[in-house]
Amino acid sequence: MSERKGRFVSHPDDAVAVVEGHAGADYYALMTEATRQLAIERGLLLQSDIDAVIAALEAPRPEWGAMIVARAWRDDAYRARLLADGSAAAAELGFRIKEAQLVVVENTPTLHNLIVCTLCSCYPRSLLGQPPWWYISKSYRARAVREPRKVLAELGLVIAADVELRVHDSNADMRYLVLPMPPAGSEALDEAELAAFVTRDAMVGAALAGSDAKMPFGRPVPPG
Amino acid sequence: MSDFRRGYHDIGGRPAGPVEKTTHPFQPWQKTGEAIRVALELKSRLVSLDELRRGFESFGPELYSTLGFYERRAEALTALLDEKGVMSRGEIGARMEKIAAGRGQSVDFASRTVR
Repeated sequence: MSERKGRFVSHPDDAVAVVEGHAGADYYALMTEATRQLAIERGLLLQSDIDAVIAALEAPRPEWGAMIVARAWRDDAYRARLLADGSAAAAELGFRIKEAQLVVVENTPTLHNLIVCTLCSCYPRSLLGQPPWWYISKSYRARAVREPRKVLAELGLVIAADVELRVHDSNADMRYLVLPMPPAGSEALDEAELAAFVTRDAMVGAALAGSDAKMPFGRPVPPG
Repeated sequence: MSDFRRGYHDIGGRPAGPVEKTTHPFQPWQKTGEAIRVALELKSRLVSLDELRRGFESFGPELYSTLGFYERRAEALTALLDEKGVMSRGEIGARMEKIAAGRGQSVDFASRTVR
């Protein structure tokens, strides 16, 4: 066993609270407009170059990931390929994950997976689109690896104490997708019907797929 | 190791406030900012995502703690374009003032505000 395993190395700023900070939006919107104008005037870019990238940024959406999840629920061979090589299995359905290797992690009755990017805000954008606000917040990045059960409870999802909670920290080379458990009673549904139960948050591990999946943050905290 | 400090962006595990549940739309200026960076990379390999990361992981903890995700990226892009001699911070600032003046506004660079 490695000597480092499980050993907590402390740092001088460990106890210093992270500041969220959202200053300067108007200033940086203006800076971006100035940069856009200068880049076009100098022939570095055409407006059509920018528009093409914006269209590519806007195209991916959680429904794409939901199609992959629904296929995995209905096709065991596909599910095995998805867990072995997420990028290749996504490509089978026509989705090219451009930014990094896609790693798919599977929830079971005894294991729940949660995705974070503590260093930046890495996320499978070319599949799911832009991440939610809470995912890019410093609070989520800082706390998801230290007190994930508490963070999930704040987001409305209570993970039972006897279920293992595994947190995956994304990086420049790996983007994660959670394969949630199919909702109870969904055995007779087809892929398209199943996909409707799979939300963005369920594929990050911040919610469960289910009949209440349309709620923004998964199942409500049970009273008491 | 006593003087070892992790990078200010390496915030995993540090204390922080509640996770805010509100949603915010992906604003046009945020899309444009992302698109400029990506288009410059696709067209002329001018600014990579790794360089942008290096930009906001080296512009200092004060800015990092003040700015949100898209603001950090805009600040880092300007620093990179300036560093590479593509367009200077001064040129971008002058254009910001010109655009603001056309709207009857002015730019306070020290406080990073437009009014």
